[in-house]
Amino acid sequence: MTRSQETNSSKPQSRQRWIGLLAKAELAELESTWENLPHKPSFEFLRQPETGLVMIQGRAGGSGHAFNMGEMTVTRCSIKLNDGFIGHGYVSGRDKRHAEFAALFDALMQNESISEQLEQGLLTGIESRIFLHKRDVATKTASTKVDFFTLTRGEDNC
Amino acid sequence: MLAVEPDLKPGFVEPVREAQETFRAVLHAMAHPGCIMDAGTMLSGPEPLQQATLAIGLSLFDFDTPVWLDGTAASPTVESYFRFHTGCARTALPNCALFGIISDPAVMPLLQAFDCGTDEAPDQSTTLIIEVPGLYQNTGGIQLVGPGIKEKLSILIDGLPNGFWGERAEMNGMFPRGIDIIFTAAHRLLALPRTTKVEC
Repeated sequence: MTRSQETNSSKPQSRQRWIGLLAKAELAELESTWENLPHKPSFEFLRQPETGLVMIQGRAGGSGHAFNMGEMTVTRCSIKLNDGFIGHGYVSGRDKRHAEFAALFDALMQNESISEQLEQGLLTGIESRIFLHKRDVATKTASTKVDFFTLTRGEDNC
Repeated sequence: MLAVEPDLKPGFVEPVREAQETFRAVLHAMAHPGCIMDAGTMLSGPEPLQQATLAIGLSLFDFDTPVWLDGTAASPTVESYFRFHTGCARTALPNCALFGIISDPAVMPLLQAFDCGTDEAPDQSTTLIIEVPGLYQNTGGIQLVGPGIKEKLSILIDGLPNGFWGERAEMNGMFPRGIDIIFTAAHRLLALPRTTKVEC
């Protein structure tokens, strides 16, 4: 095991988190962050962006058996920066540019000299946008809530 | 630097077109034993594997083809390259492999060590990819006869161990079981399916 693998495995949650956020990002968010980078690193494709199907597994309850729920379209891409960092991007849908940017930013996030800047400039923004969106949906849904109650009907009181 | 995968190299630039081109070359080579074909692509893959070997690997390997690597080919770089690009698993047992890569034929195991398939499923045999220093057509060496060859064809393959043709001749009697071989040198390849008989 190399030193880097230890570094990465010591904080798997954070990488899992940012890969997830990058997958949920809007293309425009990623594009503008990339445009505003002071030093755009050069990179090569390890795997060109490609679209395929991924089987989604479901589980009925915590004790249920896993079953195949259906397939979903996923586009993936892998790149290597010239400084050796490797990034993978997996996004839903068929947007190849999105997958490419997701892979690029995954690689950049592993570089500690730039990760803080990206955290502030990109990830926090995506996270709060997702949070606000979820809250909006929840608020709208909550306004349709119906409380059921039963009035005493009286006929039993005779 | 801090890369997770040990020096991972890029695969095909245009996976569909390049894989089809290589597949076509292998198909033609198998149908015309002894015919030297160009694998048709340029890859910057891991050392020490040759261009044609890498192209064949990327075209034919997948998640249900266990691959056996010889001592020279077996390195973390080669293994992770094929695992990343094709999803294939590496096996340590030659008789469990659907593909075998032999980078140094001088010290290769006996052909009989690989899986020859069964009479019911002869297609489940190992296909060997043997890297050799040179492949030559119409220059003495050995004579090939069999399906796909009009009369006879003479070829010369460098770098094979002494008993190699004897081992292969012994396997001719096992038909339909047997081992198909693809020889590679740089970006060129030559196939020797089990149906071809060799006259030394």
